[in-house]
Amino acid sequence: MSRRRALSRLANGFGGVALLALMVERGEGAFVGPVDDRGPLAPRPPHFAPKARNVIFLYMDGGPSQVDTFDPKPRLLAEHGKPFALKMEPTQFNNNGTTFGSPWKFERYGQCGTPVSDLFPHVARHVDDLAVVRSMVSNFSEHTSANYFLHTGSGLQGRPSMGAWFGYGLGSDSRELPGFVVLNGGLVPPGGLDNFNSGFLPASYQGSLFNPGDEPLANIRPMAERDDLRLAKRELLKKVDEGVVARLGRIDEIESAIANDELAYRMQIAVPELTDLRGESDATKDLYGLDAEFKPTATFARQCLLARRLVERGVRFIELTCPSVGADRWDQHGNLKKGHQDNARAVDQPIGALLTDLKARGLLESTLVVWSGEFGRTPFAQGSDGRDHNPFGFSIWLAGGGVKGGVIHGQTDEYGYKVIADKVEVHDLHATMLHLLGIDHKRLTFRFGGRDMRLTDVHGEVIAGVV
Amino acid sequence: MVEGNGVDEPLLIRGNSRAPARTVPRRFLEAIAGDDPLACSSETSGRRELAEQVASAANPLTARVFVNRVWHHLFGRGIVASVDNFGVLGERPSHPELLDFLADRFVREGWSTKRLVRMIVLSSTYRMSSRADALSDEKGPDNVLLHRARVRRLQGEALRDAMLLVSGRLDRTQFGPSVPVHLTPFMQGRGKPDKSGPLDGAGRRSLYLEVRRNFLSPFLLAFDTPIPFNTMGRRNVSNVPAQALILLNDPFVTDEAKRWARHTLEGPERTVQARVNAMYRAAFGREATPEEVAALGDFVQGRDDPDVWSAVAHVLFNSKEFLYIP
Repeated sequence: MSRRRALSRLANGFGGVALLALMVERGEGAFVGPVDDRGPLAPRPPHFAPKARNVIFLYMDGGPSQVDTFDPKPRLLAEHGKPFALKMEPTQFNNNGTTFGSPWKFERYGQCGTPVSDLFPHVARHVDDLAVVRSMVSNFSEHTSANYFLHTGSGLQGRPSMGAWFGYGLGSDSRELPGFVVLNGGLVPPGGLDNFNSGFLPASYQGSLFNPGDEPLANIRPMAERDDLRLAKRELLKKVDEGVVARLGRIDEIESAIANDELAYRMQIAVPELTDLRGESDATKDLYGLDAEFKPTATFARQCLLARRLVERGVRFIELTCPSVGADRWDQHGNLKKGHQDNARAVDQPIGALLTDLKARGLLESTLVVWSGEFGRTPFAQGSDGRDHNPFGFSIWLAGGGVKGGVIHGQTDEYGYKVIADKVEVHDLHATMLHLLGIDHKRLTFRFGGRDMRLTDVHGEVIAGVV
Repeated sequence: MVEGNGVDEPLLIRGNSRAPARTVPRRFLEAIAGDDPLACSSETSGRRELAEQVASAANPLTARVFVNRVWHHLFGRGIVASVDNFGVLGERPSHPELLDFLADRFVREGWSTKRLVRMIVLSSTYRMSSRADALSDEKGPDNVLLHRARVRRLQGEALRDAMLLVSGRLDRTQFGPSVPVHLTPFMQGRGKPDKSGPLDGAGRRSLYLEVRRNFLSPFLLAFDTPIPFNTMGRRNVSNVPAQALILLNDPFVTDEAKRWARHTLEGPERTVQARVNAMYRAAFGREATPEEVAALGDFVQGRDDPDVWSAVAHVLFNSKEFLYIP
C-alpha cells in the first residue's frame, strides 16, 4: 500500500497516523514521523475532543519572584530583616541575607478574590479567568538547564521544544505561516535557540524566531530584483520544473517541492501582512500600549498584538520572550525593587490587553495562555536587596482554553520557600497543556535512539485542579 | 587512550541512579556472544576484548551493518531499511543473500570501502533510470525490489558544495583548520562568536565548515544536516517551505548565482544555446532539451546583461533537478 492510499483509508485519528509512521519508518526508510502527502504541518486530529486549539506561552525569562507576585506571605513581612527561620538549601551565589518581606502590597481581585501584588494591576483584573498554580517546582536552579527543562522537559540541550511537539502532534491550521512561532522581544534566554528547537523531530517543527522589525523571518524578504525580471523568473522556474516532471514522470517528492515554492511565495506575502498593524484600531493599539512611554512596554505590546493575530491565522504554538528593560531580565539578584518593577511594567499592560482582546473576540476559550518563568526566587535576601534562584516552589498561571478560572492550585510553606501541597512538576504542566489541546501525553511519541520519546519522558500527570 | 580499571555496574531500575539492582557483568551483545561475560580480568576495562569481538571474523554483524550503510547512502534505502537497528525490532533485509554476499566480499577484500563502492556503483542496478514505469509502479509501488532508481534529495552539505562547484567558487583544498560559521541575525544566544565567518565559507567544501554546537548553519539545518548530538545512520529528508525560501532569497545562493552568471558570460561560449548547454552540463550533467533552450532563450532575449544571466543561474539553482538526483 502506498502512503497516499494508506492515509486516505485512515480513520483512526492520530494514533493511526503514528502507527502508520512507524510502519513507514520500518518499511520504507525515508521518512520518520507522521509526514504525509499534505506536508508535515497539515492539521491532524487530536486523540480526544480538545478544549483549546492554540497556545500562547508567555515566557518570563529569569524567574519572577512568587512572593512578590501571586503568592503573598505576611510572615515574611513580620520577620523582615530577621534570620531566615527555615533551613536554607545551597543557592547559586550562597550570599544569603535575612528574611525579605515583599516590597509590594497584595490585594484581592474579582469574584474569586485571588490576591495579586501591585506589580500586576492589569493582569489582576482577569483573575476570574486565571488558574494560579502556586506549587510549581523545577529540577534545576540554574538558568540554562532550567530553561531547557521548562521548554523541552529535559535539562540537557538538544531535545525538541514543547512547541515542536504540538506541531508534530497536531500540525497547524495555518497554510501560510509556520506552526510554531517565537516572537522575540529582544532577550534570547540562556540556552539560546535550542529552547525552541525541534531536536530529533523533523526540522519543519522547529520554532521560527520572528525578530522585531522589517524582516521578522530569515529569507522572508524577497531578494532585491529588477521588476522586469521578477515575474518572468517565476514563470521560467515553473516551466523548467514542468520539464523535469515531464521527463521523470510524477514523483511525490518533486511535486511537493514544487508546491513548497508556491507556499514560499504565499509566505512572502503573509508575513509582511501579519506584521502590518495599520489595520488595527487606535483603541486596540492603546489597549495594548503600542505607544507606551516606557519603550519595553511598547515592544511587548506589539508582540502580544502579533500573538493575537497569529492565533487568528491558526498558528498552533506562539511563544513570547521578554523585552530588555535596560537592566536584567526577571533575574534580580540585587535591586529587586527596581528590576521587578520595570519587568512588570513592560509586560503587565500588554498581557492584560491580550486577555481582554482575546476574550472580546471569542478567542480566549480556544486559546490556552500560560505565564511562567523557569523557577522562582528565594524568600530570603541575596545580599541586602536581591533574591536568588528558587526551584522549590514558584507561581505560574494558566488562562483560557478550558482552564478553570478563578482558582488557586497548590500551596507553599508560610515563607513561600517550598511546596507543601499539590506539587506540580514541569512534566505535569506539559501533560496538562497537551491534554487541553486533546492530546494524551503518553501517546504522543517519536522513536529516537531506540526508544519512543515523549515530551513528558516517563513522567507527567494532568493537573486535575485547573482543567 | 589510557587503560583504566574495570568495574561491573549494577542495573539501575528505570535509569534511576538511586535504585541499583543486581550487578551486571560486562559483556557483548547477547544475540552474538550469548550470556557469557567478556573474558577480561577485573584489572582491565574490557575495551580491548569488546573491540576484538566487534571486529571478530566470527561476528558477521559489523560487516553487514557497514555495507548496509554504504548501500543506504548510495541508494537512499538500506537493504535493511532500519540502518541503526539490526535487532528484533529492526526491519528485515529486502535482499538477505545480497547483504551477506557484500559483507563477505568486503571482509575478504580487506575491508576496503573504495572497492565496495566501486563494485556497487558499477552494477546495473545502480545505473538504472528513475523514470517510473506504470506497470512496475503498480506491482511494486514501494520500489523495495528496485525496479527503478530512487529519486533522492541532495543532503545539505552536498547542495552547498554543488552550488560552489558550478559557480566556480569551490576551493578543493584538503585539510587545514575549519572555516568559522557565518552568523545571521537569527543566530543569537550565549557563547556567540565575536566574528562571523564568510558568507560563502571561503569556498571550502561543507566538510570544512566549523560545527559550533550552539550556532549551526541555518542553511544546512534546513536541509536536514543533523544536530551533532547523536550518531545518525539515516537522516531525515524533510520537504518544507523554509527550503524554498532559502533557495529563493538567501544571499549565499544569490551570490553564487551571480558568480556563475559572470563566469558564463566570460566563458568561451558566445551564443545563448551554447551558454545554456554549458550551464546544463555543469549543473545537471546533460545537454538542455530543445524546449529548455527555447524557454531560456525567450527569457534572455539575446541580452548579455549580467542581471539577466544571474536570474537564469538562480532559476537553475531553484530547479528541482538541482535539488534532487533524478
